[in-house]
Amino acid sequence: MKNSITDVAGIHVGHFTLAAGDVQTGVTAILPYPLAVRNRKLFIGSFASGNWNEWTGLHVAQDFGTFSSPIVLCNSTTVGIAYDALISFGHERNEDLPIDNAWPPIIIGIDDDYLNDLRQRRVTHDNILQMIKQANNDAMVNSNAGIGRGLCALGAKGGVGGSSQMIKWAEQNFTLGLLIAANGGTKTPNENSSPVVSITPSLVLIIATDIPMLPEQLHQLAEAALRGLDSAIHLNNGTQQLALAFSTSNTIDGAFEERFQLFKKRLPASERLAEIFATAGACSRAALRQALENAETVIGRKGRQVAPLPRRELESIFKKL
Amino acid sequence: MIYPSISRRKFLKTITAAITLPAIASCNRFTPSIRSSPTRRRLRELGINLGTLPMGKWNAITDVAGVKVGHYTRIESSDIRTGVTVVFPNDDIYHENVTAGRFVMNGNGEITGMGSVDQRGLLQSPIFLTDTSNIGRVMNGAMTWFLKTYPEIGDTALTPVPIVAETFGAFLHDSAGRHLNDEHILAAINNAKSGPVLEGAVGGGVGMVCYDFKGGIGTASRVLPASHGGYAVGVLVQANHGDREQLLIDGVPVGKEIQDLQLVEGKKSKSIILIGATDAPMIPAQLQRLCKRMALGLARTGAISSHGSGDLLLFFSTGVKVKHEALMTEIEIFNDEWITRAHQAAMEAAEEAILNALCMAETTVGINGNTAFALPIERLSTIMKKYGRIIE
Repeated sequence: MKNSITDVAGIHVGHFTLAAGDVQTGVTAILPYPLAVRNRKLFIGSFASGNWNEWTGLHVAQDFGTFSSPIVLCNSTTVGIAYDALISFGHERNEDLPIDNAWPPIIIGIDDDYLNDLRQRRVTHDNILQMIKQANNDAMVNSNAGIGRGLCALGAKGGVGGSSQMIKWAEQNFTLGLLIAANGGTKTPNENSSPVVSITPSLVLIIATDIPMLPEQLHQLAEAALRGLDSAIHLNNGTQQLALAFSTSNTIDGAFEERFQLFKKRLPASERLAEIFATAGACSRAALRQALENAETVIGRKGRQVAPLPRRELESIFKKL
Repeated sequence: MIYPSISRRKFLKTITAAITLPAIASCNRFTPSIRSSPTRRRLRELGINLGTLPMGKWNAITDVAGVKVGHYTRIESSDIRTGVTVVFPNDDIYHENVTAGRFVMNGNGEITGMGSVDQRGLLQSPIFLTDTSNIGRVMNGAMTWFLKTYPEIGDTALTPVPIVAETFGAFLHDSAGRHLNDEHILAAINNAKSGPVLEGAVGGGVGMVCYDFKGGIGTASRVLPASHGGYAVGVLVQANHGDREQLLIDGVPVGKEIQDLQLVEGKKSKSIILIGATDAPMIPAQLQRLCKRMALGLARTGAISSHGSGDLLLFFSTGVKVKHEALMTEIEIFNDEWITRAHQAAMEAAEEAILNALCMAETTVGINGNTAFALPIERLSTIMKKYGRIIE
């Protein structure tokens, strides 16, 4: 186990990081299945809290409960560029863009403007396209990689983190993996917002599992994962939190074959998922801890310097959990 | 029952006479308009009147005071058939947000920036319409405009998410090549104005196909009775949906009556975006309800909302303005008990906007010689008469 979302079989992650003076940003992509797979749909669920601002591809995800695209996390002025890169990715795979793996792309815009100059859009279409093609199933490199580069959380350096756990459920072994983009939040309730925070600090959780689920269960899984952070992170002004959960089992393959067919899939009992939900919450906290622990000091926009959370404060947050 | 109607000969004579007039002067008292083609006419100019509510001055979304529409149209060589259309709810939407609600009739599409609509019930971006492959380009062009217009964005103020909606234009356009960049999006923004709206194969509608005829941009409006506040309700569509045999005009199966002029080769494309506007002060829940009535208008043109169709609807009210970051805002709210006329207005305007797109779009030949024929409006009089409709 790599303690990473890539512990769920088939999942690849790519990072592109750009650190140059006032520009401290990056892009992270989660590929739900290897690129060699074609025309696969997966079930997805979501849960958002606060003033959530953006993810594209949500109409298909919400109306059909499916997606096919890589999930791309980038800063909030790069969303159009990332979307365009995914359109290129789709056209390369299939000229009938809408029915293959890249449309509609899921692009999540995250505000990293405390450390990063968002007004300079320096990440390019080609940076993103290349990064997706080089995604792999290695363990998380470090918290400052990709979109993690410019993020601040709990008044200190935030970033990306991962975690995973094996679960035995219904007599079978499953894996649950999670990636966090830790951004915003305060250590205690009623705390005056730290000055080290973006204008609209958005936190994102991506939850992957090979437990066969349908969108209804995945919505609940996303909610459980996000709520698992409640004891560790308190909200500050403008906080946005989004969790997307998907299942790598129950995939719909061969939907575009020219024949009528039914798909045999499995449906877990929603009322028997408490253990899985508890695991998801624990995974969120573990991923947050990894993001905070592995963060390194970054000097960015306006000469601002943000250091990792001191060890003692980190312990006090996670000790009570 | 015998309905009075003009003869086909007289109808054609009227059309011919109108064609000889300068485009803008040919606007009759029913439906002032501007046109991209001298031979095309709006539904009302053909003597077909839908519904019972009166229309606004321009019979367009711009009848809602403050609303502006801009197009940039790019038609080059045999392959490039694209563009962008922008709808501005007011002149400073980033600082002066308006209420909005949305509805998904069928989710196989994209309209970005809906987080703000879902979570805050507010619109903080103009609304852009384009073809599918250009969403990223238009989002980025819109971001260029935002950053240029508002230097505080990304420094002390939040980054807005551009609202960009799409339908798939690859039947006529080189989709993979995209062919839009920042300057085209900025040109559409600079072209935005109130008053009459160009319809048909313009802006985001250039590559679109509707009921297997040439589709594109269409608009229409209704005015509520003075007893209901006299507010305007306007709709603008980018129509790219439906199969020929489904098309209904005022309940008449026009699609079944026109068997020729079929699409020449190429893949067919689906989807429709409907944007509604009103100056009636409404909260998001009320605007979501108006979205559903636009869907009824869509159904009255024969649409079944197929699986492949991204049928996405968005409605905003300029009657509720919220200053960005205002701690508390005094607002007025429309009385639900009086909202039925607004439902009717949204339905009628949506139906007519779609049919205006069909009536105003002209035959377009695009990539690989793919051809979408214009709805033959000169045949409508005969067909409508066959089914006992009045042509006025």
